[in-house]
Amino acid sequence: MSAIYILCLEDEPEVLDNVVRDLGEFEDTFPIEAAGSVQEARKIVADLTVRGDRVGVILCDHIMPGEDGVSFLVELADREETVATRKILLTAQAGLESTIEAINKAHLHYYVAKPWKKAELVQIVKAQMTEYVLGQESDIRPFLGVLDSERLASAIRQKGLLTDE
Amino acid sequence: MSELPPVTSHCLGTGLVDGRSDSAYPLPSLEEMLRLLKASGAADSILKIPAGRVLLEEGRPNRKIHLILEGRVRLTKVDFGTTVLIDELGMGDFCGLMSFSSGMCAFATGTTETEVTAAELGRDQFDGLMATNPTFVQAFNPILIQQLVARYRRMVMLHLDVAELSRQLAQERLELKQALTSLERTQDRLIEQEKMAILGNLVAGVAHEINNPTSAMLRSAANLVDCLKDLWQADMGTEVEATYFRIGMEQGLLSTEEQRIRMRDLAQRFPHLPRSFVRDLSQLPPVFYGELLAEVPSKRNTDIPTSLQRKILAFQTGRMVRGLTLSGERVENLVHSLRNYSRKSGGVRQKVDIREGLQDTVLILGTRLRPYTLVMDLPEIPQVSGDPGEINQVWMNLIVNACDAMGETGELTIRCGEDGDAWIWVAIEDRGPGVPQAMRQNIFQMNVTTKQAGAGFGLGLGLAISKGIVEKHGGRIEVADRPGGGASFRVYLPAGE
Repeated sequence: MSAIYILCLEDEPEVLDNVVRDLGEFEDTFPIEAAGSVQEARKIVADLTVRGDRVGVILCDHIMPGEDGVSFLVELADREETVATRKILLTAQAGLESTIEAINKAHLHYYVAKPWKKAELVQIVKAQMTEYVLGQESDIRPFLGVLDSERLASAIRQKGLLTDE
Repeated sequence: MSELPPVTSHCLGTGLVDGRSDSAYPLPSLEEMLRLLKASGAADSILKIPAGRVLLEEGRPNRKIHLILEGRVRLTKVDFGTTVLIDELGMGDFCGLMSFSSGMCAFATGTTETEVTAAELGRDQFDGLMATNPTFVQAFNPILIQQLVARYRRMVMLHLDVAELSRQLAQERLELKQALTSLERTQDRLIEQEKMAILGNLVAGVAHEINNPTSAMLRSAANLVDCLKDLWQADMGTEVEATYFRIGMEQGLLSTEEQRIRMRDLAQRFPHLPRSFVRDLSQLPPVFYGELLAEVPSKRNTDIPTSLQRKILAFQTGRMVRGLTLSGERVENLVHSLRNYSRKSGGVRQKVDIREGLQDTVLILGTRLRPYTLVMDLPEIPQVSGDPGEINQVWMNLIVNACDAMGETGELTIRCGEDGDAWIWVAIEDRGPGVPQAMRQNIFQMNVTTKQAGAGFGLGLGLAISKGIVEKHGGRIEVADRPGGGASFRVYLPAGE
């Protein structure tokens, strides 16, 4: 079975380290990949695609040297292999213009302002990954323990995959 | 023209009193005129007229003429609703002469200013005299001509006066315009100074507020290290954990690439281990792998032993303390730079390290510079003498301009160097469209901007203010094309004290 990854993109090593650490509880179900630049993230996405793996959720920093996060999210939204990826922007900037651009063009699903709280970040990633799994996977039972079980269970009931018995 | 007599009320006078005359025709004296009038039987009409009486009304037909024997008459004219005094008549002058002889409506209003004694002639009387008395005609014509000449002269003089006034007015308007421009400049500069002063106070306040929690954080991190060491010392058999903690503190973060490679290797060697554990393990220096892997569970029992968990936790704790310390120090440096940047020197010149100012400016601009590729080449150069806050403002203006010129992304280069013994230079170079030759002359002037209205910066003041500051420090600022495209702004400042 192909793996569903969480991709974290952030140019500040200390910040990236903490993002990955905070999402540690997902790692054994959804492997985490960390990238320090858009270039590296692009390569990771390409490698995963070649192996048949997918990116379920991307957490992306906003302003980075060279290429910025929003335009990378736009790029991902335009590509077949990442069009379904749930996109979260992590930013220290509260700029309205770029937020609007990100939401409109990159089909941004969530906007997280730095500094974040662990519980909040875990909750957001869980909700987004649940949406990804519901939209993309035919068998969602393996994720019941890790993701939003209530939401998954009700979806299973609707599809008739699981009964209340 | 200057030999003409000054314009006074006497120009209108007939000169009967003193007999003075420029005319080729001899003017009759007052006595002569009176005698003529008496002889013609008009002398009965010598009247005493009280003050304030209107003898002649502007715009109305005039039926009488008065030869003033005593007292004064004011001639006024209404102009745009205002009554303007145009002349004053006295002894020997005729009031109503022009309108009377031309038959046109009165040009001005004549009002007695004092009690006036005058000989009054009606139209019939006057016409009678003119028709039947050649002596009267002979005496009267020169008076008429004299008056016309005087009025003509006066008109010419007025034209000259108007021309002179217009010239003075234009001059004054020019001076006012210059004064206004200069005031606007001063105002812009004052506003800018005021803004910097407010910013300075704000920064000083914020810096203080940030410094306290940052110091507390840094101290806590340091004390945490001592506490943990004591804890491990007190608990026998955990010295090894203290070692792992120390390694965590000392070892820098792996690059994402390096960590990926290590994780892949470990996952290949131990495919039964969960990825989260592999990640934790991969962060440790490989020299520890041998020791740690001895404790790694076998394929049959994947429970990770407590002793191994504790070592990894100790290592992670060390990493977190390191992260805390490094981040705290970054905040500390930022606050330091902010304070340096907005430092007010109070006009006192001091030694300024240009490179420090450039680095502070770059640090403060932080996020704004992130999208650009920043190349800094700052070899050691002599210090300059000046106001650090003001000089930093120049770097701020030039760097922000360079970024704005490039748009979303591009290569920003900041270099410095020495030019002989006496000068140092700083070059701020972008990869934007460059400055067209035609604009280089006025780009340093007030209110000249190539930026679109509404941009965050770009009132057209930046370069003008920068130029002012640089010149105040005895330097100069130049713009040129950057080889390979873009603009290069270069500031020269005198080196040394």
